[in-house]
Amino acid sequence: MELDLDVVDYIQVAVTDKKCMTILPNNDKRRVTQKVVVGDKNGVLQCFGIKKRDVNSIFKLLPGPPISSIQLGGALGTPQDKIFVASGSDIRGYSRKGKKFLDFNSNLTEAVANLWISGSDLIVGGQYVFNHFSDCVDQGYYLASDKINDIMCFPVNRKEGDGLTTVLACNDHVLRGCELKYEAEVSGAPQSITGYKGDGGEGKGRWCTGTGDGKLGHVLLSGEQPIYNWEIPNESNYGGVSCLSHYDITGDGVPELIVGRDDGRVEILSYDAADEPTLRFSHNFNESVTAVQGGVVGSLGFEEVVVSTYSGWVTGLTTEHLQKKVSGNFHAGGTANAQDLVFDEETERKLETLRSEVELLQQQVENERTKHMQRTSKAVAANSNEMTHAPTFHVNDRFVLSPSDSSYKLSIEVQTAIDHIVLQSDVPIDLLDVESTSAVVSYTKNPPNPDGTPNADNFLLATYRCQANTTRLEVTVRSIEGQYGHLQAYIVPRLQPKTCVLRRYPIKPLSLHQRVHDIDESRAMSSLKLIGQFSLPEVHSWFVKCLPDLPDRTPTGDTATLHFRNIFLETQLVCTYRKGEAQVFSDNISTISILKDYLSREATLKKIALNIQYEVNDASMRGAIQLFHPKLDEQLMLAKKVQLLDALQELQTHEGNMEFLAPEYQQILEDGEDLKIKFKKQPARLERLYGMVTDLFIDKYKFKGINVKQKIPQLLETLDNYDQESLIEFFQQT
Amino acid sequence: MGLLDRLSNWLQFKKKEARILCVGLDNSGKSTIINQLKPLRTRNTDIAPTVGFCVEQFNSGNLSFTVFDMSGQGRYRNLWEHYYSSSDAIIFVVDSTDKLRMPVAKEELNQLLSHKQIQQKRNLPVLFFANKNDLRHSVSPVKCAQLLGLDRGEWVRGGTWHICPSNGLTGEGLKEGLDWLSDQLIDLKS
Repeated sequence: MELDLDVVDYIQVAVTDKKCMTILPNNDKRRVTQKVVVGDKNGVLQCFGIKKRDVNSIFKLLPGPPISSIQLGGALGTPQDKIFVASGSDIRGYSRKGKKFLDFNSNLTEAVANLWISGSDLIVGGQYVFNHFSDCVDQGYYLASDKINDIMCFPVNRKEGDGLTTVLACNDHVLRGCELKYEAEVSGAPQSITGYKGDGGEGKGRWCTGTGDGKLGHVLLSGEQPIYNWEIPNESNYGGVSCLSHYDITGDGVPELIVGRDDGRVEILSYDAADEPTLRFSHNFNESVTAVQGGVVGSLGFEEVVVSTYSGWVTGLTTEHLQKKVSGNFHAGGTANAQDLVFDEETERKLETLRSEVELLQQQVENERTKHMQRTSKAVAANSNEMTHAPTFHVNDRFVLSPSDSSYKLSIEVQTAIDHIVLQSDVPIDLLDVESTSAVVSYTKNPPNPDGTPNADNFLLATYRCQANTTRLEVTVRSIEGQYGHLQAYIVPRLQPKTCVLRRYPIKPLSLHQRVHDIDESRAMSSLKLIGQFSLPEVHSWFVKCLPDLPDRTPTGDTATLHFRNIFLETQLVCTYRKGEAQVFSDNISTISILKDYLSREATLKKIALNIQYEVNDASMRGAIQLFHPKLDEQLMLAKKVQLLDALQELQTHEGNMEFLAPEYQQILEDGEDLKIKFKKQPARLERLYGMVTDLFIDKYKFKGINVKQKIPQLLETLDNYDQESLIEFFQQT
Repeated sequence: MGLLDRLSNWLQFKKKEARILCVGLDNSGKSTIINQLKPLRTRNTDIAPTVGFCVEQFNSGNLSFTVFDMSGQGRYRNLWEHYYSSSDAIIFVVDSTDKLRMPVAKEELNQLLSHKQIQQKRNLPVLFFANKNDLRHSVSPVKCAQLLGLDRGEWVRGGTWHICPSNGLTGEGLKEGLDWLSDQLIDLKS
């Protein structure tokens, strides 16, 4: 059964953070709708109910430090209707009427980002630290090795005397059960976790996780080993999962999984008889979703999903049909009474209030603007320093590696509409089109320096001019391994006076490597060893600059081992380092060569003498080419087929009947559309592969101290008439 | 019309009377809706399928309604036409969860509207209740109007129609519908 939900806007607050909206449970005996609590970056906590489509404010507190998390709690076994709010390093507790009953400073050096309440136990998570308080007394402390994205404890419906187990979702793709019983690896960086079916599957510690690259999974954390039940891959490349929740919206007794994503998609998945989730409903809000909750809010008897978005809209997706009445005349049908069909009374009333409000505001703004003009012109005349204050605004940006198409996804979101964004890069990168963006892009040729010499700093200058009311822009960026530098974005929103915010994103030397936990140890590896006078934090910082997905904090212990995988080629990389020694293993010589260049450069800058030893394994070369092979083969076949396609299609229109053709050509015609789409999706993929093979060739001989630049045309010729054996032969001669 | 009559009319002391025909397919909720419109003490506690028809009376605003609650079962549907001549308005109840029989409802509506006696009455208001709107798989009133062909002007006949969602069990939406009907009837009578 398809779900059919209507969108209702309730209120708009300031910018909201993740998990800053929740729905109070109904402990009233009377049949009333539930109340919504929302907190924003201005520090305003407010609670409202809906009465006949009107917002009915229960309480609204004064602004303060930005609110970073809201959780509900209460004494065990009672309705969980106490509101706990985290802002800065403080935790405050409010009753459902807005009365403050708890003000507690956690004494953490970091701001509290995650919160979990269970009875009198308070679990607080900062960026790396995690603290457990019981009745405001410190009970435990743990320092995670990577950023904590979310915290949850089970059992969810805890009874008096039950133990408490905490689960931390850390950025290095790991769920950690606390007291560190074990670590469970998930396939992406978990952003959000929630108890399976709301209560964790009868208190057994079953979890649903959503990752930063948009995957959903179900993990059972009990016993010795984590059990993985299902995982939904992110084939359509939707945004990362920012929030998860369970609520029974279909009323069939089984809760549905509600998923909110970074790109504004809200999905409802229901479990079938075998507990496998299936998608039932999706809606796109076009700005990132910060919280989703289910409840009865708008009108009695109608379940709905309440969604809060980044810019502060609190919106409902309700099962109620919103357009109530239609009237007309049998004679004329819809046409004569079209107005009746377009607006009902509620819409009319809303329009009316909005109109008067806009008029009033326009007048006020006009007045203030003239005042401001006068003041600034006076200031300019008097040559005083007192000029305009730039308005500050919050930018929500993400620069993440998306493994499915081996490119980076840059998303920029501002509370108000964006006017334009300028992207500047000092490394060669490609910008790919994203279907969902409506912005107009224009590329500017690199202007030469004033003295006429070509300017090498701007490899890319692009301007995205956004259509009206776009608050979010998404760009796909494709980098080349080994070319490192920065990508800068100048963001200008539609505000008066116009201001610009600059954001900088590093493009790391090994930008296509993703952190993993296991590698295939049977592969032949080449290695590189660096020995010198450097400390562990120093060498860690070099690797942080070199590889994505690494925490800035130096790992504890004497030795650190990191595993990576190249998402384009599936070659692997192992880095082991300790004070004074670093060792790198990889089956791709290019990777080692890039690392060698970068690390020796860093060391030279710090004036540290390095002793570099390397060992090139010829078997690893063969292995790398074997990894290249299927991709090269596929791309070449695809290119060949697409080349033939047009001619074949022309034949088809002329002849009508294609039975005289060879079966392989008939096959190409049949798959025509798929092939074209595939070819369009992977532009320049072949060139990219050629580039990598060439790099591999050059790097291999570089380690042997031979310069083979003049052999490149020969290599390209071999590639054009590609054959795996002849390529390996070419690599092994000389 | 005497002075007293006119005065009472103007002051609306005397309730105007309206005779309503309530039709619709079987199991669409006609008797439940009419039961819900009656004063609390006179309501029936359980509703069984109507046999033949029932006459019910209740007040709403300044109108006194006499409703012929017709059975919607196939074999009784030919009874409907006997009451066409004596009614001032028609309430047509549609089960909005029953997409399958929507064409049947449309066909019945077609027959009703093309009946000679209905054709003679100009400006006969028809109120549609898209009933059972509390159920999850119910279609919206707009969709209902589309399925019945109301919005396309297929029906060659004067008179106005109005469709609103209703929940016969809780009485939600009934008041709005009857308010519209009263407005129409008062407009016609004065």
